[in-house]
Amino acid sequence: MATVTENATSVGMGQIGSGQGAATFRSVLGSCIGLAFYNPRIKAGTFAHIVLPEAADRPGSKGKFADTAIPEMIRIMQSYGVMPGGIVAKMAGGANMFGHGGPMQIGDMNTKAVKSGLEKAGIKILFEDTGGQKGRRVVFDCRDGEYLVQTVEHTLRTT
Amino acid sequence: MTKTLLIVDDALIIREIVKETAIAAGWEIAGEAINGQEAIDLYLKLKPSAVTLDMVMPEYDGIHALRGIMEADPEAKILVLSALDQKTVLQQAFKLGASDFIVKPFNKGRLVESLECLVLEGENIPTTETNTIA
Amino acid sequence: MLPTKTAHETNLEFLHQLFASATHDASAAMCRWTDGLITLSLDEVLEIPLEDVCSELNIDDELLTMVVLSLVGEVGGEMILTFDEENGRQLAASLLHRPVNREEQWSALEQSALCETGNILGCAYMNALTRLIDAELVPTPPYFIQDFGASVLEQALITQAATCDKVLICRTAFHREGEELNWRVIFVPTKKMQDLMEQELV
Repeated sequence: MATVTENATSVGMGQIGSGQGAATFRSVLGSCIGLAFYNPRIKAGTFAHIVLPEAADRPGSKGKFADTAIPEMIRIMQSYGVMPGGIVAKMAGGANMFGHGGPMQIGDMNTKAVKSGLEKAGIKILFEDTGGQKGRRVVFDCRDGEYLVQTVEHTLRTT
Repeated sequence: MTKTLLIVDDALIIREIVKETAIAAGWEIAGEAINGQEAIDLYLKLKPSAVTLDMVMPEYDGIHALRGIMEADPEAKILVLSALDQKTVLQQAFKLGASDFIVKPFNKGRLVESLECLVLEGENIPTTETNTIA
Repeated sequence: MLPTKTAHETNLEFLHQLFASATHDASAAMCRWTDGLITLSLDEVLEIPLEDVCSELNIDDELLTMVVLSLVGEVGGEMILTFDEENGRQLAASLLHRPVNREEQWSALEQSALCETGNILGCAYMNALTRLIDAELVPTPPYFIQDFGASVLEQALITQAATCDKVLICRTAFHREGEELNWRVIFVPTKKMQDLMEQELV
C-alpha cells in the first residue's frame, strides 16, 4: 500500500521519476497532471509532473509539457523492455484551483492534452481523477502500481 | 432631512464598517450592492443622498457604476472608497464625476467628514426648483 | 581578488530594492488596517528553478488558508497571502474585534476579513509598483481558498512557467510586536513585469 509518503521520492514541477520494484513517487498537484506509466509484469513505472499542455519552443525539461513528457516516458518504459502496448496509464490533477470564473483555466487544457497524447500513442488509461477545484496529493507505487489520490476531503485508491 | 447612503463594495467587512460608521454619524443605510451593475440598479431605485463606491469588484467594477449612475443622475454624490490609489484610475473616476476619494484602509472620521461635505455641497448648489421658489 | 557580481546578481539586488520599497508602502497600509498591530518586511527576492519552488519555499501538502489576487495581462502576476489555520483565525478575530472562532467552517465575515486584507496588501503593493514602473496595475478581486499550499502555488506559477524555466518570487515576512508570524505573501510577477522593472533600474 502506497501510504508511506515519507519514503516516496518527491517529483517537482516538470520532473520525471522512474523505477522498478521498490520505487514510490509523490507529488502535490493543482492544475498540473501527475501521469504514471506502469507495467504490472515487471513492476516498472515512470511518473511525470506535467505543468503545461505543449512545449511550442518554450524553455523547460521534457517532463514539463504533455507533448514532450509522453514520448520521454515511453522511451523510459522501453528502456525497461516495455513496449507501448504493455503500458497502462494512470493520471490525476488538472484542477482549476481558482474556480471556473477565476483566472488561468489551465487544468482542463492539461487534461485534454495528456489524454489526446495517450490516445495517439495507443496507451490505455486505467485510472483517471481529473478536474474540479481541489488540489490533490498523489502517490504512485511501482511495487504494485497503486496510485493513491488524496484531496483535503477525500481519498481515492486504485491498483 | 434624512441622509441616505448606498454602500457599494464586494467585501462584506468593508460594508459592515461603512454601515456602522455612517449609522453612528446619523445616516440611514438605503441599501448595499456588491458590484457595479447592482450599484446602478439600486441607485435608480433608491435615489440615495450619497454613495460609497469600491473600484475593484467582480463582474462589473466601480468605473462601470460611476458611468451608469452619473449618466442617469449627473448630480449624484459618489465617494470612491478603494485600496487602489493609482493616478490613471483616479483620473478616470474624477472625470466620470466622482466627488471625492478615500484610500482603504481609511480613517472613520475622514469617511464621515467626506460624506457630510458631499451632502452639504448638494444643499448649497441652487437647484432649478429653489430658484423658482425664490 | 574579490569576487565580482554577475549582471544577473546585480539585477536581483536592484529588484530587491524595488520590492523593498513597495513592501514598505504595503507595511504602512497593513499597519493602518490592523490598528498598528502588524507590519511586514521583504524577506527575499529569489529566482528558483521551477521544479524546486515548493521545496525552496517549504510549501508542500499542509492545509493552508490563502487569499489569491491576480494581475491579469502581460504585465501581471499572482499574489498569494498564506496563513495556517490558527494565524488566519486570529487575524480575522482581531479585525472583527471578536473572540477567535473555533467552528470548523469559516463564516462569510471571517472570509471577507482575510480577503480584504489581501486586497489592501495587494493594492498597496501595486500602487507602489505603479509609481515605480509607470504601468497601470489593477488586481482582480481577492479569492479565498483553503487547500494544499503547493497545489495553489503551482497554479499561481503557471503564467511564469509558460515563458521561463526559473521563476522569480518575492517572499515577505509579517511581524506582530517584533515577533515573526506564520503568514506569508508570495508575489510571482510575469516575465514582462520583470522586464519592465529591470528597464526602470537601468
